[in-house]
Amino acid sequence: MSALDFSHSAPLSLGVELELQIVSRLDGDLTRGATELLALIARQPHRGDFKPEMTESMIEVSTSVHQDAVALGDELLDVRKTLLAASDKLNLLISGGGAHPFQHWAERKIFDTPRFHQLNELYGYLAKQFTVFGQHIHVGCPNGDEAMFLLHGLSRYLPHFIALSAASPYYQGVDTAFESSRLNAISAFPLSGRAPLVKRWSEFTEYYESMRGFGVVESMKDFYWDIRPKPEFGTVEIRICDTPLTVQRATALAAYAQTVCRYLLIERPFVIDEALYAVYTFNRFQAARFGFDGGLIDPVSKHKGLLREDFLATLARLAPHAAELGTSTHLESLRQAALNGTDAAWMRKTYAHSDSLPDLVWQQAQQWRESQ
Amino acid sequence: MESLLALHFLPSWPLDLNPLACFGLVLFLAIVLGEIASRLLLPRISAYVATGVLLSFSRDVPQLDTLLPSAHVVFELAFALILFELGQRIDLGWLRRNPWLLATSLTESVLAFVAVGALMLLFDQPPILAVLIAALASSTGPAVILGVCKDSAARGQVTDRLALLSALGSCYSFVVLGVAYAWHHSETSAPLAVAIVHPVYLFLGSILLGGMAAWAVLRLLARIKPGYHNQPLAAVAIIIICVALARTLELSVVISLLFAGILSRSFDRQHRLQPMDFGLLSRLALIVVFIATGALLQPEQFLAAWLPAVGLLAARALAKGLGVFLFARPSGLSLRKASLLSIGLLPMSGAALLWVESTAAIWPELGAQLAAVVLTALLIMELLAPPALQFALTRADETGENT
Repeated sequence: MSALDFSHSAPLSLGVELELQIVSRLDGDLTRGATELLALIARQPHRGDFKPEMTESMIEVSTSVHQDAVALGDELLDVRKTLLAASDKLNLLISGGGAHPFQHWAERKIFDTPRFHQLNELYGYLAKQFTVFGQHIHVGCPNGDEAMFLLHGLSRYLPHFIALSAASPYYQGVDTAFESSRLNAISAFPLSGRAPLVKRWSEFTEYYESMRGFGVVESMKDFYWDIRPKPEFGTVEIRICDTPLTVQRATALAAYAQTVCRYLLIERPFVIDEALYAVYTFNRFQAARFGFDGGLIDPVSKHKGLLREDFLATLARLAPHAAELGTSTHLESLRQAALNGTDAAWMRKTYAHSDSLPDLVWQQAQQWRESQ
Repeated sequence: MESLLALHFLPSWPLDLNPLACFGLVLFLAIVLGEIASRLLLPRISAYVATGVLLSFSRDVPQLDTLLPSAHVVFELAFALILFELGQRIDLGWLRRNPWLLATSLTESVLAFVAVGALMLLFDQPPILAVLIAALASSTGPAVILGVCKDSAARGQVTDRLALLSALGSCYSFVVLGVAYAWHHSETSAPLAVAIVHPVYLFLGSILLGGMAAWAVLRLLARIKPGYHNQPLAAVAIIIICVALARTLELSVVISLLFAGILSRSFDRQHRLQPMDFGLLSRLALIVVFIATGALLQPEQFLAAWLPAVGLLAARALAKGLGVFLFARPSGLSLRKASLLSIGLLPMSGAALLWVESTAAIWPELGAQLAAVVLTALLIMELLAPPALQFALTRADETGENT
């Protein structure tokens, strides 16, 4: 049996990973504190799995597997509570957002584990510039073939996820003009972007083995694709999202992923072929740069329109599935965001008001702490 | 010959070494030694202190004497700037969120005070002297903490806690000093009421002055456009005025300036102050403070007072370590980091110098006795503590990448 056996998991089950910023209360800059935070959290029984990430300024939390988004949201609220109790004790702030607005990447220290040192060695300044923070959403698949189907099907909706989660307009102290500047940091890596068009799990295993044979990758972890299969969990993993500013938005994004997947699995609305990817990078760029005001070319109908219109039309198509899954309220909150402004828009508005990036970070941390 | 006489505009030989030239030369020497120290992976601060000590050996040079009065003013202003900057790094809200830190701070200070005081009594020092020495020894030097943390671009739990404990300890120790002074006064002349009112005036008055300075800084910053370093310069002006007022009103410069920094942070609801950086000015202040500290130490007393001084340092180190370890776990610190924090707390406060001097000005005999023990202990610590602190920060993995 190969190393890439696809574990079975309950179809449409959900799990979320969030990478969060550890920020100093004194100046709003990223600070070192992951070790102490993790040690404090480990002392008490808690929900959620907390892990170190690439640098001491980042902490990653993952939820357990849930069948519905409401239960997932509950766990994320508990996770927030645990995290806030520990960070208060250490005088640290926790913040969402896809990138820190003004940190200087050269000052980041790499977390002291062999894998992270190895990445630092290989990627040089990219490894540290990679101090960006994302949300990963896992959706359960009955088997590897369905995972590959969902992977390619979801690519049609990738721009929605980008615009909905976008929360990194500021990077290295400047307004990047992008809604999500984090995607640009990711795009620099050789194994980023889209997965190759293989539709069967057996074909994917072949592809993976050949890449491993070339020495291009050592494990699945080395693929930084926007959407990738996760055979150990038996899931397809959406990795494109910025970490949103609130747990509510994070929950709603997971609910959206679950609903889209149900729609794809049941209605099979289009055929998976290379045509899906013809406009992939264009759409991806438009969404990261302009958010919902960006353009979108529907790879299936070839219609060109605004991302916002496409998203609202998609919500209408998803409505019966949302009703089945109980995600209608989550999707409604996303509709409001698409109409009234995303996290990135909120960040620009907040900065325009105070003219201070440290203050923006402070307000972000307040959002994370208090959002309801 | 005649042609040479025509060159009367040339200065007479040997050249006159004026105070300005002395200052420049000393500064230059300090910077060169600082660079050498940093190549040897030692903190630059140690080199500045060494420069000062070298300077103190050449005290017979008359030109250097003329430097001293002006050096005093510069030293005090530079120290004030450092205190303000340290104060800015203190978040009193942390004590509310983590009360174990207040417990740590009180315990390590009280234990150090009691341990050193008891030891001094054992060495047959008079009680008033034991109290003064214990109060000066109980706190951790804010300038060394700020200097080494900045020098090594340190960030993290140990760094944050060092700043907090050092600032709180300085406040306690200056309140105790105020009380001890009043007590000594009442023993000699003044009525008891004065002995009670004096420390209250000293402490609350200093905090009030600091609060007013903080308010003024924030009001100014709200009106001054950033850029051209105008904001930090305006803050510096207020700091200088604050020092002058503290002097005039007989308040504590240390407490006033620490609280000016702390409160300017707490009053700053819009986080305007966060990007404030005194930059070059604060580096210069650190250099001046440590040269002056080195120069004012009295190494010639070392042989006479080394035993009580070493005893003092040992008692102090043990007491502080115990205080930190007792509450390490409840306050959320691993035992490993607690031991690094204990090492970091070793530096003694250079402000002791000012106290020794003002004591000597009022009670010459007491001042001389105080100087012998305290300055010898300070001499040892100023040379050993900065490398120890840097070691602790490095081991805690809190120093910046490039150091």
